[in-house]
Amino acid sequence: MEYVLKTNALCKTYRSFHALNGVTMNVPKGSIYGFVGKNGAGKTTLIRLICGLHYPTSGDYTLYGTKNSDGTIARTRRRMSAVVETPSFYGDMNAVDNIKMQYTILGLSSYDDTDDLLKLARLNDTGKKKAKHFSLGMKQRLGIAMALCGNPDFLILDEPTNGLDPQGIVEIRELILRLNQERKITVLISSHILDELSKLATHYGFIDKGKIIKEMSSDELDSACQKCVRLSVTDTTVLSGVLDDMRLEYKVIDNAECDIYAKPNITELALAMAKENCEILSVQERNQSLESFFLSLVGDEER
Amino acid sequence: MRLRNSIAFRISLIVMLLFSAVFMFIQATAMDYTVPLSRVIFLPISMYGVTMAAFVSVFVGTDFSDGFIRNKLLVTDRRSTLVLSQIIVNSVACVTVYCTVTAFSAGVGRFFFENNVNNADLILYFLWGIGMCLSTGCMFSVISILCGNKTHAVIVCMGLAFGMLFLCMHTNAVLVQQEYKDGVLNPHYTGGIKRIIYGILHDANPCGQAAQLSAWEVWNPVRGFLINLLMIFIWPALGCGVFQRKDIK
Repeated sequence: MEYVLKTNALCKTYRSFHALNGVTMNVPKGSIYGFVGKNGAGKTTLIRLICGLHYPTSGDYTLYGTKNSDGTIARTRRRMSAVVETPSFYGDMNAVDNIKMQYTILGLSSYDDTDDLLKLARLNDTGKKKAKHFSLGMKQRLGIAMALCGNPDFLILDEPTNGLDPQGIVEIRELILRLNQERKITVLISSHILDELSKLATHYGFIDKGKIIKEMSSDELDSACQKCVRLSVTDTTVLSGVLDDMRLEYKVIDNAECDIYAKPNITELALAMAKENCEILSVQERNQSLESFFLSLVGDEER
Repeated sequence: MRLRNSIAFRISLIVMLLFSAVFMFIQATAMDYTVPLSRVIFLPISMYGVTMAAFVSVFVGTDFSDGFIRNKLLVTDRRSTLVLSQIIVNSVACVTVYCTVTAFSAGVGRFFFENNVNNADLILYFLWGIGMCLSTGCMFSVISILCGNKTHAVIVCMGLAFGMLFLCMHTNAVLVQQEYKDGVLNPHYTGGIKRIIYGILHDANPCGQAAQLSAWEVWNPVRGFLINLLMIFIWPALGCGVFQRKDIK
């Protein structure tokens, strides 16, 4: 698999505070990578390192195969774009002038794509309105439109839906999906609005206290968060046999518990178990959301 | 493009032109003798340091407060390019304000004051003043970039500008003392090494240079020129060196 970004034991220390503590992660090409973590976990710090705003204390990262210590990293970084923390634009300029300004610093003399970008971000009717007078959603969209100048292959968005109303969130989500599917842009989104991320991301990286706890694809996450019925029994071997006969999908957790990924007929199951002299101690319906999955991950780490 | 549309630039230009107009008005009306033109051409330049400190700190600080510095850092090959481009833009702005105000004072002043100006002296002092503008632009640009925050940049630059102004008043007061007063040795006269040090301080201080220009009396133009040249090299080198490894918020 080809990776756009690979970090290797990346560390960042501010005085005595370890913001990042050996972060190793891989962002596959063409994916929407959801970077999940609590406030202060290290998401923005990592993004700042990748964007060259900060320098790592130790460790390294590779961007499109170029190491960060390589002299050509700045040139490689031109293939990416980012909206870090808050969208960056000149408040006293209108949307068109801001995009022209972005083209200027990119060294591109042609402003031909300006109208297309504004249309994509739905800012084509803002006219001479100064950016500082935009709504929060408009500011976010302007930040993303400016990040798209120069056709980057890799887009980093740091909490792009922060402070947005539900409609604003939907607009940003649709824009990101369009960019990924139509323009094949790899996207790294950091967020703690987990349910929103679950509608977007194809891969996930969970970070806590400056460390990556887990990386997984969306399919693996779906399996982990699958709805199930957890049975606590006296003998899981007997239960396995009964469930095989009933042709139900299940997973044995340990010698006393088992998850059934279906809705079993409890009466039928109980009668079958009773025949084998096996007791059912408890029945629990589980529906693990992304949030509870994340909390369970973080909780495991804290333990 | 940003400089052309910058409100801070326009305000600083208007303020300096206002200073020029007000100073000329005061000189024309308050004195009971005919004021020579040489007295007013560079008089508004005495407020140049403070005005440019305000403009440069706001102009550079906006890049940080609006976050655009992040966009620039993402696309630049080297951070020193960023520093040098800021220095160049701000130096151009400083020189533009200086030229406009000087042209205004000289142009308007010809009609209200006695023209005692030797054109050769005017050109020499004008060019000497360009050096002052460039060193002012370099200094405040680098300080603002290294502050990394608009509010901090304004506070530090304005504080420094006023500090330089007060220092210039002190060094000027020391240096204007004549060795002999009414045929008697002046006890306030400073000589020897101390005088040289005060002279260097006065020339190294952009406000000190402005004071000399406004008095139409540059004491050591060669030393002033060399000091400006040194500042134009030292400040960008310092800025590029420190900014290279700075973490940007």
